[in-house]
Amino acid sequence: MLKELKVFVAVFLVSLTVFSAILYLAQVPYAYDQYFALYTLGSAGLAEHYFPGDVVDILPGTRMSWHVGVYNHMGTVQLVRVVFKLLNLTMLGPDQANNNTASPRESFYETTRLLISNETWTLPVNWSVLNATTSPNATEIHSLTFNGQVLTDNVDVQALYGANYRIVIELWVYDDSGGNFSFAWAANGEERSAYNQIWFNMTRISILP
Amino acid sequence: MFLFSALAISTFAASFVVTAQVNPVEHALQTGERAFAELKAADEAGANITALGVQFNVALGLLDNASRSEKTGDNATASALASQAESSFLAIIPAADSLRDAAVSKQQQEITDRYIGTPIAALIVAVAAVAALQIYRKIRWKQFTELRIKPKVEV
Repeated sequence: MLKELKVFVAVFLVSLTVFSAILYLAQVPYAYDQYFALYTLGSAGLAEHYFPGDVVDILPGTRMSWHVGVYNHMGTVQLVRVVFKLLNLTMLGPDQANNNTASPRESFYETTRLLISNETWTLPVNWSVLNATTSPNATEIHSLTFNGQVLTDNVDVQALYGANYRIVIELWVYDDSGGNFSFAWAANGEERSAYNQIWFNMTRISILP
Repeated sequence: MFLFSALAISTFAASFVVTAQVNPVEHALQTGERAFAELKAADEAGANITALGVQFNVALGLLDNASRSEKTGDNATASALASQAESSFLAIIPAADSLRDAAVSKQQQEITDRYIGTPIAALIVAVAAVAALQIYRKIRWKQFTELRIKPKVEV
């Protein structure tokens, strides 16, 4: 009888230790790689054919069809904003090497979306230059059509010989502590940011009749 | 003098009323921030907020349109859209709160179950081990009692 009691106590203690260890390990949070993915795809939903006929030297009225995607792998629900800016070669773009600063240029279009954990959001973007003028050595964009809207604010950009325009797409994330959207966010203890930019030219506008 | 003072006070009061009027889009935006905070709290508690997230995004779309209408000077449309968005955000807040409470209760119940379950599982294993030992002994005893000394066969 004493032997049974000894076996009972020994097995109970060993089982309790093993089950407690399993319980503890199950509760320890595993290392979760936190990140956002921002990508821009062409008309076919692939990383190609961003311009009709793959001609990056566009004309007013040339219609571009892109798909901008954002993927949330931060582990929690996030509020994100996709911000579109039109820049030329010399205007300051986003700078990830310098404290993750956004381009100081004002946006011409932005849209906000709530993303639950592990969700991907795809935003279709259809745009064209509506109005642009040319002078002997420069082209100036005055308006865009963007997802059916005519936009004139923050699109007035001049480029030397109409070369090296760029659409910059920045990802801004809502910061709970600050109560505002921020271009940079903390992920796994590091500050991160994300942006895309797609270059195009408008050098042929001067040869239009 | 009295009349002048009264006029000055009423002018000040009127200007205060004007400055105190909150822009409907801004107001809806603030309500949206509250709704998001509630949704995030529910999500972090382990609640499934997919349906409320869809509702939130519809409200965000209305707010985006309200903001664009405001920029084009169409304040009536902006105000109407912002009001719709705000109603949606206001509906989300208590719903998210309920989801969070349910998730927290479920989480606490699971923790309780685990902490009670662990010693119970250990107890079951220990009882099973003792029972197995007793069965083993009985079998061995039976085998022992059944042993017979075989007579030696002489050729």
